[in-house]
Amino acid sequence: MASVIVVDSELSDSLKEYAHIIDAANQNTELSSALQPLVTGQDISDKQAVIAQLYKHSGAETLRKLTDKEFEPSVYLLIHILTQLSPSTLDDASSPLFKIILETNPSEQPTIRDRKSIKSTTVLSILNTIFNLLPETSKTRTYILSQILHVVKVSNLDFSLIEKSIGLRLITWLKQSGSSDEEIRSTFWKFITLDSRFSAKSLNLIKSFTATYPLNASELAQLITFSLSSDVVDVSFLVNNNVSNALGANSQDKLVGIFTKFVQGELVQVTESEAEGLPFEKINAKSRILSLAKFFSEQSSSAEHDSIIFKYNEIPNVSSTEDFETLLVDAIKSGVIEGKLNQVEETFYLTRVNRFVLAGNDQQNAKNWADVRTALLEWRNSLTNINEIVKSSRENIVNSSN
Amino acid sequence: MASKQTKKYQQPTATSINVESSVLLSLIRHTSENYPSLFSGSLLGFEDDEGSIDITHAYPFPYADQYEGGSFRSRSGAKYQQEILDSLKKLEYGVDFQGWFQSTVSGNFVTTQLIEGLAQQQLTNKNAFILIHNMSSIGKEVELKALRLSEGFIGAYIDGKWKSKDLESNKVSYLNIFDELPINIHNQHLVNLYLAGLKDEAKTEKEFDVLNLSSNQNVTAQLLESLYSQVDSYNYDQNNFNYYQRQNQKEVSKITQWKQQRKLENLERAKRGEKELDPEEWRSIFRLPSEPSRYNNMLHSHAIDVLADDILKKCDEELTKSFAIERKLTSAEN
Amino acid sequence: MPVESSFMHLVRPNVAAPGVPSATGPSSVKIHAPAVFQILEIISKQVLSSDKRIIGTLLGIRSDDGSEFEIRDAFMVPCNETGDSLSIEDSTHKTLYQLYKKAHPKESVLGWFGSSNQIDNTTGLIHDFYSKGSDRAYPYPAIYLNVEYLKDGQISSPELSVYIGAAVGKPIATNVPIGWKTASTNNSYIFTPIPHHVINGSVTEKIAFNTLKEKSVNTTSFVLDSDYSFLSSQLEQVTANIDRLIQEIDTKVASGAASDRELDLLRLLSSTLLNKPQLLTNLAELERLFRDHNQDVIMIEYLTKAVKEQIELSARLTANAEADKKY
Repeated sequence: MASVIVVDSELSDSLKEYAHIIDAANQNTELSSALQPLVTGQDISDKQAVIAQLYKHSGAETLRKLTDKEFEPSVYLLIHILTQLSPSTLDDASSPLFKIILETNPSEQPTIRDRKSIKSTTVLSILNTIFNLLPETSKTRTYILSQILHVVKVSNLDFSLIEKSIGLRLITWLKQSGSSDEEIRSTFWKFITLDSRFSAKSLNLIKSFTATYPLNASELAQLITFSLSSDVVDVSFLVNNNVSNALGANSQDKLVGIFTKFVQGELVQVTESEAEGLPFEKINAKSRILSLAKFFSEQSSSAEHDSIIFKYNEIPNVSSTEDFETLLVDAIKSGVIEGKLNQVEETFYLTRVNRFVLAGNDQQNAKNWADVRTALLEWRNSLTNINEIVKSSRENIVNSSN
Repeated sequence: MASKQTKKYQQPTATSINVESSVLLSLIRHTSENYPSLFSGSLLGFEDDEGSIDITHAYPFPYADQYEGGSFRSRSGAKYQQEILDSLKKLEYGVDFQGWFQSTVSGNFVTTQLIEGLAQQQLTNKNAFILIHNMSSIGKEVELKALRLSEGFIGAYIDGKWKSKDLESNKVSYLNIFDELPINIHNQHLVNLYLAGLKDEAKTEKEFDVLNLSSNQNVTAQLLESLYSQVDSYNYDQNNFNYYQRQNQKEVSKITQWKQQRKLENLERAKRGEKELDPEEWRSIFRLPSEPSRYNNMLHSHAIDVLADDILKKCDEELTKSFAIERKLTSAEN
Repeated sequence: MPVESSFMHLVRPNVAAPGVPSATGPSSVKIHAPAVFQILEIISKQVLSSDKRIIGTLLGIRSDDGSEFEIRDAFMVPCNETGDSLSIEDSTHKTLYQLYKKAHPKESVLGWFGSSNQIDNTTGLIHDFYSKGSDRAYPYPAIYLNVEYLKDGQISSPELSVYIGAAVGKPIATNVPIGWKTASTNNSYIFTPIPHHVINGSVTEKIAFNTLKEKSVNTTSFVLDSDYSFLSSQLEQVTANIDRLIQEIDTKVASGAASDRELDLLRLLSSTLLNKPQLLTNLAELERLFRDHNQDVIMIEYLTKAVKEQIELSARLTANAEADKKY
């Protein structure tokens, strides 16, 4: 258990306290009166009756009368009382308690200036605490998780709230609570699709998820849709072995075909009708950058071409000088290419370009390994006996200047 | 500068300084966070059975130092230090004042204030020392050393005499003002377990700044500036000394002349059978200038020596990196 | 008690502290490494030997909305337990806090630390002490840092967890009807774990921390060595890393299809190692620049050595001259 409730008073006192809160909200004494006959001193004979009364008076319409600041502590008090009366209350996905909490979630968010109304984030905080009160192996945790995703969805909460805090641990939690692979996969993709900004962080979550879990056709389609819609230009890092296999298995699919070309740096031109709701202009723009990167990376490592200097007029697929310069600026902004432009000489000096490393591309990868190995060897050699080199060079310079 | 001391010097017994790892880290944090402001503070702890000083607490002084050693003798510094000691004594912490720490840039820590403060402490508490954090490598490496004034220096300090012959008789020169003590970093049991339990974290580029080709540029310039100003001060002092030497030379040749004269005169008188005149009479006639104190010269010389070593170190690093990178870049094209 | 992955933290729960508005985002705690070490030292020295409950005060900075905390320092506060009751030496806390405050005027009390195996009523009592009263966390929420160092009764690698005390029931019962005991909801909290990470304030500190980590293997103390060139040791490390990479590549290329991890490595290396600065287009110029630069540096070296030698010479000459004085 991660969260711990410490209440320093008798259960009967907690009951009185809770009744007082509810009755104050309703401006009557119904719950207090209803509980009175059931609680004598510190003795509670009929626990079920007390529970029934509590639920009866704790409907969402009552709880909504509480202010945001009162609501959360009151629910915790209720949780404390209920678990005292019946220890299994929380570990039961069908518990009425969850229904009350979820019903209290406002359908519309209060304005920023409204400090009284209950906020969705407060509901989230309660679900969060319940999650932490449950043991790691409890299956109910899976239920709470899905309800949290639900609240984020219906209340339109910012994805950043759950991106890291849930994203990084979701799989571990689901596994601990004994979810099947099927459940894990569906929950993960439900979670990812909540990110309406298609952020780089989410892409990384997808990457590490697909490293462990293979993808079926529809999951692959989600991955493709998500990554093509993202602002991140170079999404080739998503193509790990599982994704590569899935691409191979579904190569007949039109979208898969586009994506495969896209991540390899081949120029794709998607029309609105082909795009099926995807932002086709964005995709085409991104593809132009990637194909430029591919051109640079191929030419700079070829024996026939200089590795750094590029003349404007050798760049393929550009219509004019301006067109190329705009494209290049976009490419540099996206971090795919680095270098320096000389507009007078119409020359581009390339410093760095992303290399596409894709699973399954064994031949290309072998060449990349060889290049990297050479670069490493050069560094290795430049460090060998460096102290002696410095010493003798120093002597040479001092002597020659004398 | 010190006048004649009445306190008696006792030889230090501690041969090393043990510093708890938390003290090391919090000290470095304080000095680094506040750099380029200089900070100092008190180090508290106890003497252990094996003749080491164990440092368990560090309390920085509330205010930055204008110059190294500034807080040691200031009223506010002394007051704060006393408060710490009183509070901790009341709480029965069982720790005492053992020394100071001071952040500095290279050899600049050799100030009269710092030396004076340390000398006074060493006369009161034989094992007092100072931990110098050299900030010239900030962000690249940690340069800490534990120093105390050498026996020879303290000897001259007690006499309050700094002429060449005093230095000679105390066997002290600018090169051995200080003795360095080894610093042991000590971990408590749980700290060790904690460190062992840490996952290996990837280091970031920042921690490898020492490998960056141009990372020493500003520091070297700063060290050179410090060197200039120390050399200036050194020269100022040296001019006085040179003046003295010239005066002395003049007087010496006058005396030699006088003695020559008297010798001849006495020869004459002897021939005439007259009584010889006192050949030592020059002592009451001539006054030889007295040698100015070598104290400042020593301090500046030490500062210059440390600065020069640091500059050489930076240059050597620079060249190492420069050659390595040049080799790499040119090898790629050949 | 929780390890970081077993709990969730989305939104800071409602706290009973009047100084902060209700939160719509998460809380987080940064703990400076020196503070962690201090706490571990206190527990090592006090608790391991005497088996008494030891608590202490956490110091540092917090954001205005009470959701970001930065623990920068800590000190011990003795407390005495007799049966169910507990007394905390308030005067110690006050004295040490005021002392600390003088040198760190911008910092304040954030909460407290302990080394318990469970959260119980006593935890609530102590938390209450730190949540109220002057010179403590009030009117901000207090946080509680626990160090658990026992696993199955064995001393083992300490684990840190940080909690915030969420309110239970009606916070601050103002118009409580007489005869109701609800005014004493004081000590009711839900201890909700919040994420923390241990940080190093500056790069220099981080380097010191790495040194500690590397040198402390199987030993409780080591000599802080400044004789050996740090750059050399770093270069040796770089060389060793390169060798390891090359070796890995050699075995890898032979084995054919790459694993996901190897693909990531290849992507990283090929996107960074194959850089070429523009200067390479003019090799002669590049070599000239390097040569000039090296000559400049060597010139500085040369002059610095000259200064150093001059000082030494002057000291020796003076000593000789004064020793040879005739009168």
